[in-house]
Amino acid sequence: MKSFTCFLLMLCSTSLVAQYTISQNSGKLKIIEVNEVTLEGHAGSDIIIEVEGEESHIPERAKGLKLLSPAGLEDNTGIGLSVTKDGTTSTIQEVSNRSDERYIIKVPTGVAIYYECSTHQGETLIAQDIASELEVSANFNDVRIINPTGPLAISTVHGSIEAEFENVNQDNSISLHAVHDHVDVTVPSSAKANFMLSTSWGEMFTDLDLDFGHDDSDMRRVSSNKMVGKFNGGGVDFSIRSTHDDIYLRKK
Amino acid sequence: MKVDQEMLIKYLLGETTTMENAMITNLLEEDLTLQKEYQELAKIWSELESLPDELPSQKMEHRFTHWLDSMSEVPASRKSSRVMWLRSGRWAAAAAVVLLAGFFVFHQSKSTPVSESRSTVTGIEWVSSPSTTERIQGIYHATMKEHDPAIVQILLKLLREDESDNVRLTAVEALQTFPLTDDIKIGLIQALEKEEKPVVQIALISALVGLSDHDAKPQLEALIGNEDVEKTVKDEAQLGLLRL
Repeated sequence: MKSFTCFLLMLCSTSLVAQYTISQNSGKLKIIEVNEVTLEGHAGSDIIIEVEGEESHIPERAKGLKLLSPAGLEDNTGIGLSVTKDGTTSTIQEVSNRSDERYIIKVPTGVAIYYECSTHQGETLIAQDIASELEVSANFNDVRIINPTGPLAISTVHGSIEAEFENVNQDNSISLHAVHDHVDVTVPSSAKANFMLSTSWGEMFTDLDLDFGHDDSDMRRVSSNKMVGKFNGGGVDFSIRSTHDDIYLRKK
Repeated sequence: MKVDQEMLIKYLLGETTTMENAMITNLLEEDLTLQKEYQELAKIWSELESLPDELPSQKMEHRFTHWLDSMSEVPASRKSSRVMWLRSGRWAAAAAVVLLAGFFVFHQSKSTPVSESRSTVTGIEWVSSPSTTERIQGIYHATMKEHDPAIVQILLKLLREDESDNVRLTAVEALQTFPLTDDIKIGLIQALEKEEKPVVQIALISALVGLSDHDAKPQLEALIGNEDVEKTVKDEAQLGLLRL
């Protein structure tokens, strides 16, 4: 009886998950000014957006009313988001500018992702198992990247970047750039990369055996706070930068 | 009489009068800056002359020309096309064509590229690729081994016009690896004037301060006085002014 009750509770909680689906398995997904996002790569053919936790926290006094957006956005998803589509590009925007909902967005392998957030409300962006290109342009978000297998172009002004690789993609470049906080990268000991490390005011730490190519025949060491080194004979161009804080590059 | 770039081109093409000829020859002996400019023009002209007729292709030339937003007419002949490049006042762009044609030849001659995506960055394709990371990869490859002035023009173009913060950021980083020229200094200052994204603004300030460019002071002061600029950028500009 107890196990049956648990099953019913699980069933009920599953059915309560607010969800919106975009039929798209290629092209680009732009996520603009959505404060709290978890991106998950998946093998399906749709972009699936879920709200983490319980249903939307609409104030009691606002029940039955429509949220007005100065930007002219309209909640056409039922979960506080505006979704528009232009050709092969879908754009997701948050209607409320002070929402604390966390959206879990499951993205098919063939869809490139662009995330942009400039407000103080920007919380940690989590990206897990993303196989396509991921570009991030953030002001206040921390960025946590777990097992990316696609190319990356990540920048954040006030947040940190932490990335843990199971494999290092060799197709296109990887660049991780923070201004005021640290960048911490873990790669497998077998990864092949040309690491470009730079910091203006911080320090650089690593336990990788990097080849800095002192003969300058192939790679250049640019200055004392910018270093270029091959790992395992070199491979994809992998740039790690923090203007004001430290860089950590470690192996598993 | 002032010897400007147009006059130098006329001199190079043998279109100057005897009097102009003598005057420019004298000036070239005395003025090292003018001498350098002339040598660069002559080098580009020589390289344009030495290009095989089929390279760069009409398609490639047209695409690059369009990208540089500099010409509207299809050149009537190879000779006139080459002269147009010089006369357009965009000789650095001509140098870019020479360089990219070189890349193209190299790319064509490679029988076994490392990978398909990597092979594309050795030609011109990466500049207009819809993929941000491919454009960044292109910048890395173009700047990794060569200090070519033509690449500077491409980087400055990307810095001015690329829609991606991350590409503009990479262009700023890449420009700092080149020997400092007026083009780079002016390009960085102009980009700072126009740039709105804090992450790129901070990179530009850091670059200009790192280059000890005192000409950047008015622009840094303008940022500090601008209400629309974020505090973190103003702090960086303030710090930069102190360092300058």
